[in-house]
Amino acid sequence: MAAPGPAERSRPTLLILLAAALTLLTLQVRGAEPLDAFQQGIRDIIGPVRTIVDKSTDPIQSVWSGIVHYSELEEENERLAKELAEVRGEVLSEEADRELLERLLGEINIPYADLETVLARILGTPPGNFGSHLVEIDKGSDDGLSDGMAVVTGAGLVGRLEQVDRERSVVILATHPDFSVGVRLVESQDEGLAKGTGGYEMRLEDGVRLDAVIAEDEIVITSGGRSRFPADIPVGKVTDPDNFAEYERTIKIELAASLENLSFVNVVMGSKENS
Amino acid sequence: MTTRIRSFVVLVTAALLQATIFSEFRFLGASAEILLLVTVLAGYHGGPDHGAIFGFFASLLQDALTGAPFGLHAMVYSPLAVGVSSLEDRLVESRPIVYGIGLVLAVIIGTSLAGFTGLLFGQTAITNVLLIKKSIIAGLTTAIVAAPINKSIQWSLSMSNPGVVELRIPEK
Repeated sequence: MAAPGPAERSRPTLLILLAAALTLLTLQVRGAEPLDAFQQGIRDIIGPVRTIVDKSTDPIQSVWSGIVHYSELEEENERLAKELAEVRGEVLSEEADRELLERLLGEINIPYADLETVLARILGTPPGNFGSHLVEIDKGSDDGLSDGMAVVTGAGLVGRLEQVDRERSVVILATHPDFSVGVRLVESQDEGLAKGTGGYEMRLEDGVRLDAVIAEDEIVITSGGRSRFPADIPVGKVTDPDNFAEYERTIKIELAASLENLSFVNVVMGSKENS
Repeated sequence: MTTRIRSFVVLVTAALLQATIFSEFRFLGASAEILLLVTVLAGYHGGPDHGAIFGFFASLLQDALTGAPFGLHAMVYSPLAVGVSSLEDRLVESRPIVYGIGLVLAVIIGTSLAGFTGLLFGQTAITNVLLIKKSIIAGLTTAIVAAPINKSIQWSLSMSNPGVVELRIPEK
């Protein structure tokens, strides 16, 4: 009988390792806290090294970014120039819109500016190649941050904290398919659950009445209540109200905050009234 | 220094490189897969058993860095190391270009399989086309940095390689 080849000899080892991997996977998916803590421990050990390397390679990163994203920057420049021209042309109607928005926000007494926040810098995407719709920020549990906190910019909702380590955290952006938030339409006062699509927009599929008349450009804000997000944070505006839906209504929402090229964000610690 | 200690040093260094420099410098949104690279090279140089075990621990580090549940990458890394080792045994051609292409393919396959496993477990929010595109870019960028890492894997295994056997013929 011929001796077994190397691949055959390794079968028991491979089977044991795969069984161990499946066990770990099952335990962690079911929420085994020691495994989460162990993972966080590894990231916390590596965290300071990452910070040092990040700071020391900052100038080189800028050069690299300039080289790699040159065409994108050119395109963005063109797009911004176009947008600026449009904005200049429509300045009067914009002012009218702003007045309307202020009046509407005033009507529902939005305390958006009263939220207690922590300013955080965007570090980039987390390690790995498939961290889509995720960004990493330079604040963590040492700064009082915890899982699930809302992340905003001056324009509105950006996402929520997903993975909080001591010095860093990962933000799941509002466009991520796993992201959902309770929202309210300002004019119709309908409430529902808006979800990320994996694209550039959000969709409101549950909760809104089929017969509710919703205007295009209607402002959408967080509904608060049992939601983990404080109420009245601007989310965006309706781009497609799907007014003629007969069975299921899908309302498309354009986010108020631009999620591309973010540099700084605010993590909402809670409203000042509550603290 | 034993092979285990050397392997540990290589793994920790690879994890640090993955989490720092190779996360910062991305090309078209994709970064080199250093922990996958050390797994492939460990399978190639160290054989199926060593590759599988090395890949298992590399994958745990990868899980911790990316925030994926423990075991997700191990479903791909360990079998891949065994596969690479098995192919290496059967390889007739031994030109460097063949090794280079083999390495790129192994990393592309490993990265895409890890991505698809992530999709299956709801850990990845990415389209299939983008996943494959990123895997190809990751495979190519990983190949660029493979040479120095190959040396370090050879160094980590040098204790376990058999030395030169000297044959002595007794004098009559």
